[in-house]
Amino acid sequence: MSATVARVGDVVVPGSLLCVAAQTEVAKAEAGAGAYVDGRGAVLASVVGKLVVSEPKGEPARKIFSVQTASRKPKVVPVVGSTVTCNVTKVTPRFALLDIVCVGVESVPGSGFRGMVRKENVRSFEIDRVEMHNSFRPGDVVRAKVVSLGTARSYELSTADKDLGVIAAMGEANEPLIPISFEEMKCPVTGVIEKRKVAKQDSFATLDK
Amino acid sequence: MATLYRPRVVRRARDETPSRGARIGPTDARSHKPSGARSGGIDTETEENEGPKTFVEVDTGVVGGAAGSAYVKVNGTRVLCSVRGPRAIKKSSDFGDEGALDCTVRLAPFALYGEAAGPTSSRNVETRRIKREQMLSGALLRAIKGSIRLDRFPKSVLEIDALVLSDDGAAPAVIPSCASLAIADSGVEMRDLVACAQVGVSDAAGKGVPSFISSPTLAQQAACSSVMTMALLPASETISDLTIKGTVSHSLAGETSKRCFEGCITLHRQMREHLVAKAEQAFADLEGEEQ
Repeated sequence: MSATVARVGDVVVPGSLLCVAAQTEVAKAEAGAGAYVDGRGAVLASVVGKLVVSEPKGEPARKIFSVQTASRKPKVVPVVGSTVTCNVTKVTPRFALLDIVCVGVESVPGSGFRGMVRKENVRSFEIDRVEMHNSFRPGDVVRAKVVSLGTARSYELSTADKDLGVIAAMGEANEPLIPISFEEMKCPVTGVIEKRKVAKQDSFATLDK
Repeated sequence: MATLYRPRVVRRARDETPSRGARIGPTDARSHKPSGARSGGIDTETEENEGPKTFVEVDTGVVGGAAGSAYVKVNGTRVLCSVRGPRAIKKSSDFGDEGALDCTVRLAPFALYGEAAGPTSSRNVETRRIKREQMLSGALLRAIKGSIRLDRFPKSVLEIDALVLSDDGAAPAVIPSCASLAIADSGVEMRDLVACAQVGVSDAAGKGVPSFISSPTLAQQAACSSVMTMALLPASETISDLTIKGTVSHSLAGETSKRCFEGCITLHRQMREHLVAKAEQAFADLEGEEQ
């Protein structure tokens, strides 16, 4: 492999040298998206794309080397801390099973990632009084956070935050429900109120009921 | 496990991708002359060696349904590789902080032909094929495992399916190279590409003057006293897999591995050129769309 260092704007391939020494006295080079630092301290590319070097504001000595890919979406998998969007598939008195459809803003079609929200991870207060059937129903769309890789079968998810919980649901009358509070959703046709663990909305549509 | 994909018409810029077909290393035009349709063939006449020469062809993005795919032809060996995932693990043994690789190599029923296929009436044909598939799958996993940043996709599995369309002896070297291109095409983060090369040592003359054949065909391998296969991560110049079939004297092993290394570097250059050309085309298309 030729030891030529890629310049900004060059198309690089995995293994291409982006920066010889990552940590020197005058400059601090870091690996951004699509790059990594190898054992010798050099920054190398890890995907095919164009080299982009950015400098964080106010820190001219720091340089972040990243590789921008042409068209393909980044390959994402759920990791601890990612926010995921899921479909509820099954609800039992102790947990709910979900299919993960999005990781962050990237959809992961056909990947088969599954998650599980346990009763104690539904909300952060009064966790012993949670009732799963009053929190989720099969078919609900839920925003959750990955708390651990869980078991071989499913990721351990949590909705214990006001931003997390049900973001879309269909009611008994097969109509999309309108969130009216953190714990309730209302059917616009029949007026029936159903219980859910609702994610925080910009504004609850009919807070006055 | 491996999937045969339905063929799909792929748009290809004619006469524009220089690395679609190229000849590398010591080259012999006789048996594998690039046809007119495969334009862009590059002849690189190198070395004093008058031995058989290597015709190499690489392409990516050839399978429609996969996240990434590649096709590599070295002499008479043709391999099609597709990558899917990363996706959820199926076996609990794959569970871990690092991603797993599921490598499956399949030999097409017509991959071996002529004498190489052995007696067709033999009951062992199927057994032999399955054994070879397992051997090649294992070799593929060994060769490419170190090149992929498995820490980037915990508890997930990357499925790599290689289909050997024709096997003229170079399959152990072509499959990892092809898989590496397919992974690069899919956008999964890698440490490095993997380039593999094979060198045969023929000492048959008995004159004590050994001759080296790069990318030997099956017929040539039969005449060789040993065949060395090397998988190389070119950026760090690390060998990820090295196998020697047959016997080679210790004094020749060094020279053989040097020639393997050179073959890997040559192939890597071609793989890189292809990926760069393809990416530049994609960037140009992207700009065209924006305007």
